[in-house]
Amino acid sequence: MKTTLTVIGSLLCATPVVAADLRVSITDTSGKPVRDAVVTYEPAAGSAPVGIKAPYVMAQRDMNFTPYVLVVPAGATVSFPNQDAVSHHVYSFSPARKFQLPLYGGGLSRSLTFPTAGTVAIGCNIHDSMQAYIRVIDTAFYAQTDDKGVVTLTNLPNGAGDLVIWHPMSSAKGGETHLPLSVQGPIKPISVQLKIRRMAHAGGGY
Amino acid sequence: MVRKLSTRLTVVYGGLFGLALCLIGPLTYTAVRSYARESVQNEMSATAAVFDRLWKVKSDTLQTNAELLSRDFGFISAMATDDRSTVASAFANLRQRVNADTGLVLTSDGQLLAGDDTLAKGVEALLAESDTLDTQTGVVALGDGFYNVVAAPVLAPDLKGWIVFASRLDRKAMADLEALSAIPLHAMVSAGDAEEAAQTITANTPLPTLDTRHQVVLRLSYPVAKALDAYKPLLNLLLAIGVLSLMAVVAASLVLARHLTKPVTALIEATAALRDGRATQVQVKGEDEMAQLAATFNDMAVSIEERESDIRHLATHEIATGMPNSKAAEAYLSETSPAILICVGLQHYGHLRAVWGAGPAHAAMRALSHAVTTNLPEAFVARTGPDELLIVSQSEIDLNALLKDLNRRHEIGEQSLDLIARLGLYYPHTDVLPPTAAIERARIALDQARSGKQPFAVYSPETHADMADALRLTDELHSAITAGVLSVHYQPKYNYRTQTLSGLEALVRWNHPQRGMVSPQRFVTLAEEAGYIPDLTRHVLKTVLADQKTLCANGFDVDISVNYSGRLLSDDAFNAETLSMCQAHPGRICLEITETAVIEDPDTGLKAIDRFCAAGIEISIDDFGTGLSSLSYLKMIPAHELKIDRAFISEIEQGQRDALLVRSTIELAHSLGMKVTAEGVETPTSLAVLAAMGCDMAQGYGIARPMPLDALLAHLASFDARSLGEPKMELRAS
Repeated sequence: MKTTLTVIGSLLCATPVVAADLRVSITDTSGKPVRDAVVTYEPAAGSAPVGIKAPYVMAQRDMNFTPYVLVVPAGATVSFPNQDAVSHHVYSFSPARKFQLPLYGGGLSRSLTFPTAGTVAIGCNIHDSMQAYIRVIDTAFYAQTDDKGVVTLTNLPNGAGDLVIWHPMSSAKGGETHLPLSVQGPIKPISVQLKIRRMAHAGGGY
Repeated sequence: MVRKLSTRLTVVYGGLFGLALCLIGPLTYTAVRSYARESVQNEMSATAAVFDRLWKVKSDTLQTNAELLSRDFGFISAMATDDRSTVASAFANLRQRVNADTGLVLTSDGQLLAGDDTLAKGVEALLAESDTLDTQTGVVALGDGFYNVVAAPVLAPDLKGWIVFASRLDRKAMADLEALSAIPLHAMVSAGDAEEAAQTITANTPLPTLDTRHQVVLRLSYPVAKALDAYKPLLNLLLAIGVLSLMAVVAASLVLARHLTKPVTALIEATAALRDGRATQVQVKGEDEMAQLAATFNDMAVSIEERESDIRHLATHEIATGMPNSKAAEAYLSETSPAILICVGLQHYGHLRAVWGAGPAHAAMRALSHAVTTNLPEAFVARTGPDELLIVSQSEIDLNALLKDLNRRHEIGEQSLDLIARLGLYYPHTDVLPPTAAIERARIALDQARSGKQPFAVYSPETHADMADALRLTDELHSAITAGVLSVHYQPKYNYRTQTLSGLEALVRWNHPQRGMVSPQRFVTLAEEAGYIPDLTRHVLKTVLADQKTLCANGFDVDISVNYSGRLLSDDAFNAETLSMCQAHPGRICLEITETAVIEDPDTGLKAIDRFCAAGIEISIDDFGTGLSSLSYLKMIPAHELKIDRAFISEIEQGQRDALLVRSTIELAHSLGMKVTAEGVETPTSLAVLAAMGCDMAQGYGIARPMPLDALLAHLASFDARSLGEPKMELRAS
């Protein structure tokens, strides 16, 4: 039982429409809205390349990464400016992009390119509490939940696809919850419940 | 039922105290037990708190160590790059340092990288399902027991796996814990639903578990008995105090009861003494109710004593004169051995009282008593009867002086009277008699003096014996009369004219089985005193009538005279009976009566005589000349015969005067139409003289002695007038 996704909505309309919007609201098992969840839709037919909208920044400020979750298209370059007075050693062992940015002091910055889609968990070697995630995507349909845990994917093309809901603390494998989706006209909003792991000293959370 | 007050008090107080002890005892035991239990539980709580602390310290240490490794960048690198051998070596290295019983490294998807396989099976699923990425600690039950497990996540920075360390919660760990307690507790870790053993005090402390669905507790237990051990001396002491107190209460109750019952017992004894007539006083100290009761009792005893003394005085003294009475005399006699008892009888007391009144009569007795006291100052004087005083003297007395002092003129009030007293004297000598018997003897002597008209008489045993004998004889006489054993003898009467034995006098005889022939004079007198005359006369009459028939049948037609007592003459009922008897057996019966009988009650006597005469029964005047003969009565009695008493007859041979009297009497009787029988004719001379005087019949030994019927029959058959003999002197011509 790797997924606890509950699909409340269903496809009601079979009328072919060029584009459809999908509203997804995400809560945890206690019903609270989940922030920083990233919802992507990957049409089976493939997606047009995503435009790079530089700059993508994963700053280190106040002994934390910010933002907690950064969504970037595959191939984007992310800068890691150190805005603290102390040095940081930023690393990741994630298969999508293993890297180490050895200690660099405040006011300095490093940049990395993330060519492969996937999740890159980044940490600071000398500050365990510093955690952040870069979600590398290769689809044009994506959104990140705000405090209300709600996203709206717009202009989804008709046809089958995979709706992926990811959250760094989701207990699902790789933090990803996959929902097969066939778009045929307007889509009823979807509510998704995720099992979220707690982590006392995590900087982000929700 | 307990009877004695002291026992009852002791039982009540002892019982109450014992009851209180019985209530307090269990309460105390319960309190002590509860306190002991509470103490143990407090100790357990303390131990549990210590355990908690130890637990935390140990868990924290493990956690620190686990986290140390889990955050080691090199280790994380090894984990992230799936460098298994590096991971295993790093784990082994740390494990040596942390001194954990066991441990392991798991990947986030459940693969065992290093360490204990068994532990892995126990925690893998739990960690996979865990909803936290924090370090977790808690108890896990594995096959061989419970483990304290610390699981630290390996974050790179996302979850790469878990480092787990575990310490066994085995017996040794428990023993270490037990050693920390002040009391020898028993500690064990068990599933929460394990049953509690009875008779133990237990405290369960829930332990954190990795699997929250299962509860694990630290169970501390301690036997109740052991908890109480510490209080055994106290309980024993309390028990000892209880028992000693009970004994003390019982002893105190006994003492108190004794204190209470001692005066009660004394009062009971005093009451018993009072009941028995002994003067008594009770001594009770203090001023309590008992002492008051005793004082009241003493007052009562004195009052009773006084009253009794009054009653005793009344019982032993005469009210009228205040002199000691018979009772007092008896009491006095019972205590002394007097030389003499004198019964003083005042003569004519009844007359004195009738004429002068009771007061002077009593005063007369007092005067006599005074006279006695004057004469015999030492003597005891009591009034033993209305007219009777008793003098008891310890010494010999001057009898003449006493008589002189008594028989003189006495001043009685304003009068003076000549008093006559007679004395009965009794010298007890060596006699030991009851007082009443001694008094009785003096009284008998007085009776003798009175009947003998003597100034005094001395009691003699002989007289007393006669009286007793008379009494016995009277009794026997009654039996003899009732049984009809008295016989009748006949003395023939000689008829001068026919020169035959024409008449008989019936004389009753008593042949006593022991005494032989009893004097008729004696037993007839006894019969008269005892009132047996009617029975006696009836018996004689019956016999005479029967014998007369026999005589008649044998050819002897004789008159028979029967003595008829004067008293019977006034008994109408008996007279009627006599009449009917004589009429039923017609014969020639003559009733001999005395003049005196008629004189005492002339009307009745003469009336009866008239009836007898009318019935053909002859009447004879007996013993003429001895009584108070009255010519007027002689004239009134229609008698057929007159019998001249033997006293005159025996003298006619010698005395001129007697002869003259007899001759005159014969002539007088003849002139009144009566025949004359001379009694006591013993000699032929008398017989001849009486013949010359014109006497009709003669009776006496000179004719014939009284004889029974069979002898009489023979005598009558063989009688010849010539056998009476010739007179020894010349009869003077009349």
